[in-house]
Amino acid sequence: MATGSSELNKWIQAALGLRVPGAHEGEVDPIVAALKRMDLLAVDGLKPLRVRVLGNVTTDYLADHLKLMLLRSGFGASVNAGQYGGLVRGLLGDVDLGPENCDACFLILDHRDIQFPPPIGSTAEEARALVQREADFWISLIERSRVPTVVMGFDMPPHRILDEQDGLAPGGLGWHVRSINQQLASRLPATTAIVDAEALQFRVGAAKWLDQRLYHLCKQPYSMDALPEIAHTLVAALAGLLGRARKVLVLDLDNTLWGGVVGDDGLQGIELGQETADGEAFANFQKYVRQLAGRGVILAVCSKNREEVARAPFREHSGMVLKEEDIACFVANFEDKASNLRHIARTLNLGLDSLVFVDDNPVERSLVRSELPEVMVVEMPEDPAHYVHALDSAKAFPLRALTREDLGRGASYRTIAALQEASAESGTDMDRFLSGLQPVAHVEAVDASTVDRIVQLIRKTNQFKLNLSIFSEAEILAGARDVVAIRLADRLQDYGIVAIAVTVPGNGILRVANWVMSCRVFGRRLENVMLETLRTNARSHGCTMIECVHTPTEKNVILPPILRQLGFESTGESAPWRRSAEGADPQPHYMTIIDRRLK
Amino acid sequence: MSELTRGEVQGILQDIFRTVFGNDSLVLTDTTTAADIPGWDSLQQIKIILACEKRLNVRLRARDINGLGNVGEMTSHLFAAVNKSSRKSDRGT
Repeated sequence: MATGSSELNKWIQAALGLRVPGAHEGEVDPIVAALKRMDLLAVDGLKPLRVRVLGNVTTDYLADHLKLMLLRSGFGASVNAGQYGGLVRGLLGDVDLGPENCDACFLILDHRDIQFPPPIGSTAEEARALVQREADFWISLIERSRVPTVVMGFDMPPHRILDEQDGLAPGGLGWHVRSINQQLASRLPATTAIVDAEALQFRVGAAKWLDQRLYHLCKQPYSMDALPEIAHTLVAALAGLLGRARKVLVLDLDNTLWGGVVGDDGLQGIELGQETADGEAFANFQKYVRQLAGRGVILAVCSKNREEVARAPFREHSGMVLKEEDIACFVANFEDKASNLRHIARTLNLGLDSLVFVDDNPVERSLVRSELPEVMVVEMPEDPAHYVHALDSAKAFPLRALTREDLGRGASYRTIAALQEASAESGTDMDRFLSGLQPVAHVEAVDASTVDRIVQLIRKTNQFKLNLSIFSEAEILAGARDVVAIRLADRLQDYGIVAIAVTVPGNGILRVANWVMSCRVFGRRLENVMLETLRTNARSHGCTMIECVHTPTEKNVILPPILRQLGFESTGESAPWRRSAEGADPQPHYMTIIDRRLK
Repeated sequence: MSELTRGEVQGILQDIFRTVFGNDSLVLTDTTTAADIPGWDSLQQIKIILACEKRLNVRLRARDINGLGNVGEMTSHLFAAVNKSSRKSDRGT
């Protein structure tokens, strides 16, 4: 047994040590072969995950690579590849894609599976009708999965009968494929994520994507060399779906955001801007990073510099694309970077597994890799011309659908950092700070316009979460009257819906089946507003008691002290937490409450 | 690639078998077949041949890969392909 587990450990370490992107097939293959033989479901520190893969093509080799990439994302997975040709049959009922059998699934669509290809000579109208029919067919099948599902959309056919028109005009097969993928992307339920197979083909390269000989041999159309990238992409999408998307991009400064060392070369000595090739590359990288920030990635700086030296380019260099206000947390000192990354995570109220670290210096990267394995370290190339590609292909920030919350996230984390700094400074008047933000809590109507966000927030929250139960859109809508969803806004921004309680009244008790709150609003006393709302609801149902169903997990350790502070008491580890619906009011919250529910 | 002997080709094949089946003491002979090695199925066989092709920088035809029944046949086909490609490169120089 002892040798067995040390063998297992050796291969897990090898898998985690792979530099992606940048690993060579020679390094990947032995690890894939070894992991295939090993049971990862019960490995300490890995989240167990039972995964099914369904496709009409052979998915066995892909399954082996998925196991590796899942491990790199913190999952100890068993990956069960379905039979060749088993996609439709499996979805129709041969395979039960429910939580009893698996925790997640990958559906691999392939252009050879197209059911209603447009006949040559189809009119635009006929072609559109066929797309509709095709999309309806697949969506009704995919919806049969009752677990989080990643769908690899249809890949583009390698041959184009209608030449350049094939992908561009209605009636072409390529156009049909593109149109269906767009329909799938916009119509699939919130428990699925879709991978844009055409973009994946483009990244892998057409020559490496298709291996016609392999398809004839064993019905796998992709070349073996394409498998790591396919698995990497599918797993990134699943990580996003399971609430494990990373949130923060931590950037080094010297030779990462500009060329040279600002402390040595001086403000005018650094290379940044359109004058030189490298200067242009650094500016281009900053532009990409700024766009990431615009869609919800939080930016932090971690630099070995004196702070005023590090901030000077942001303030005074005309070539800087990033501005100080884009950075939620700015750390410049001479501490080691592992400590500083811990500090950044604490300041932003996030786990280390939310961080992505970008640094041109291989020594710093290697230090962070070994000290903080939870942090994703991007393997940066030497030439800044390739920085954007390296970060983009790391796929660190999977996005299922852009939400209003994503757009405002940067600002809310800047407030969190300010909040942390204010509470760290002695003598700051926290009450005055909070009320100065002029917060307003909107108790939202639970209906079609809010249900997506409610389902998503319950699924994605880890820390402030009573237990692991999640709810479907239908369940939320059915109990809408007893679901409390609170949106927070203040003078700086609108945070969207950030707190939810799902309750069930009965027998004089308002049972809280789950209660979640986004970590973005920790410290804002929104929990007091929720309690106040729950107490009002309880009384309107004639309940005298409020009961929270709390199951301790690795991540929700912050809850018991908060519940206690809110006046809840529990008689033991697995006993529910209860408090009276009457009694004294909780602590002040300084919020204006606006009830937007239908009366 | 410099000339490889048939024995060296089989050595490379053995290396790849050892990696794929996680058994460092695996020894191949010409008469070794799927019946001798647990887990050796058609998918594993294709994976092994493809890994050999890459290592030796050769490419077999699909029908040759399908017909390989034992290690001897695998070695012979790979060895023949290596010779063919090295003769080609000789002519090229």
